[in-house]
Amino acid sequence: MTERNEPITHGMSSALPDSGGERLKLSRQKPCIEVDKLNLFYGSTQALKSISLTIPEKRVTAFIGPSGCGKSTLLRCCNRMNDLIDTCRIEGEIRLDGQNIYAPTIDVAELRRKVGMVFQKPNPFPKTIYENVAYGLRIQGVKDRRVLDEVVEKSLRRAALWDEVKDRLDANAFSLSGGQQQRLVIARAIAIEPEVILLDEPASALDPISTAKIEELIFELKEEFTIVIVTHNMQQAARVSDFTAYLYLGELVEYDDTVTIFTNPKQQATEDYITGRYG
Amino acid sequence: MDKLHLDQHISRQYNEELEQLRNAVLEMGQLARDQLVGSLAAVLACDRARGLELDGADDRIDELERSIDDEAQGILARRQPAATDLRLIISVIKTITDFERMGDEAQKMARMAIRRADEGQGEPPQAEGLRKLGARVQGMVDETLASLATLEAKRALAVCRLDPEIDADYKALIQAGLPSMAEDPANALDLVWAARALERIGDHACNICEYLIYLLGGADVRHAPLDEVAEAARHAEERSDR
Repeated sequence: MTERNEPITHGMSSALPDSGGERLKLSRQKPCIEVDKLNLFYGSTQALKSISLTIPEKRVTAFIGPSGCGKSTLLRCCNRMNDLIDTCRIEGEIRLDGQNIYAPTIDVAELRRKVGMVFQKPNPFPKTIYENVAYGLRIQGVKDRRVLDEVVEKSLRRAALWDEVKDRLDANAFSLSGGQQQRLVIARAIAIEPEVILLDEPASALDPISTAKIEELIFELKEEFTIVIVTHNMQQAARVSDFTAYLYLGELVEYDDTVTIFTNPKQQATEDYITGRYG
Repeated sequence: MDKLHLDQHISRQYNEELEQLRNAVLEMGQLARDQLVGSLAAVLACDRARGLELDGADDRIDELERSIDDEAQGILARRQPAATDLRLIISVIKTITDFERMGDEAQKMARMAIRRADEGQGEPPQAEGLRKLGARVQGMVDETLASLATLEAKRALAVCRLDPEIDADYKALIQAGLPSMAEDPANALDLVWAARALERIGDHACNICEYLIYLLGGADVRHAPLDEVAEAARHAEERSDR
């Protein structure tokens, strides 16, 4: 809450820090993930067509587009979740911190530790709240209870869930509401200190209040992590992301800072999609 | 012809809402324009009856301003417009403020006509100059309305280009009226106020054309030098052709 006598701009150099004057520029961002001429086939069907884009570090990047446009497929390429699909074939490169994640020498388990993922439907393990968050550390071999306690608390705090669960850490994760489960899953993802968090429709199964909490959390998390989010909800992309990529039929149509995409996109196809026109 | 593709939303209801909003703005602009033409004629002719009629006509403009704002607010709340639709709503909200102020300036002239008639005054000094300035400003407003109707950035730019000329005409007219200030200050002041009202109406027309260029091309050209406005208008024309 703002104190009555506190100046309304509390500490900001200008009343409108991000307005008009200086918009985020893609070219000035430090790259985290570089997608380079990526083609992806499911059998004989090409789902991604020569996609090239750079996902900046410690920013929120949203992929939007109609169903089947390839946005979730592209997201899953970033931690090689598509490896699990037999018919899936990939050409091109995705580099994380300059290293091609599809190189034969890459340890996929290590890659997925660096690039965490959260799905549409919360998927906590059938364990206690505590054990869900501690899980990643336990499989890394951490046994020290003090270390585990510390990480569990820190992760739950960062996921804005601590205050709601601190008195029942031994309760089953399924006793939490859908929105709390989703934040628990995010806590589990960040407990192992990834670089990147991939969010695949993280709020589409949640009510508006839980959605707002997830969105607020995304805003906080970008201080420390690179976030990539796929969403059907364009207003959500507009609210939470710094950069937005519009995909259509497997192609990247437009990629720019979010304010530009939502006020003055360059491509008619983008305009038609975000304004709800037939196109 | 619809360069804004307002009729292409999946929601037909939304198409209608935006179209109605646009029509209401055009109606308001037409009223402000008629108010200008009538008030200038009333001042020049010291026509009390016409002045009274036009003084009251401003209410309709004010009413439209409120209802358009209300509608625009509803669309923002319910539709969360983006891109062209968002720029349309923003430019509508700004445009109607300028139309409303045009109406206020015209109303000042209408009231002046009533007062001058009551005082038994005749034609104001420099009437010919006032008539000419009025005709030029009216031309600007007509072109503004035409630009809004046809959504032509080029045409809007042409209006912006007229503004410095109007300013120069205004200054010349005031200069010409100054010598009479000492002997007939009341009449000289009326000339100043009437000329000032016309010049302000020209400014509002220019503002509206800048909003139109923003709507069509996305660049904010307020307070920008004319060559920048021209560049933005050229870009807007290219975009509307796509």
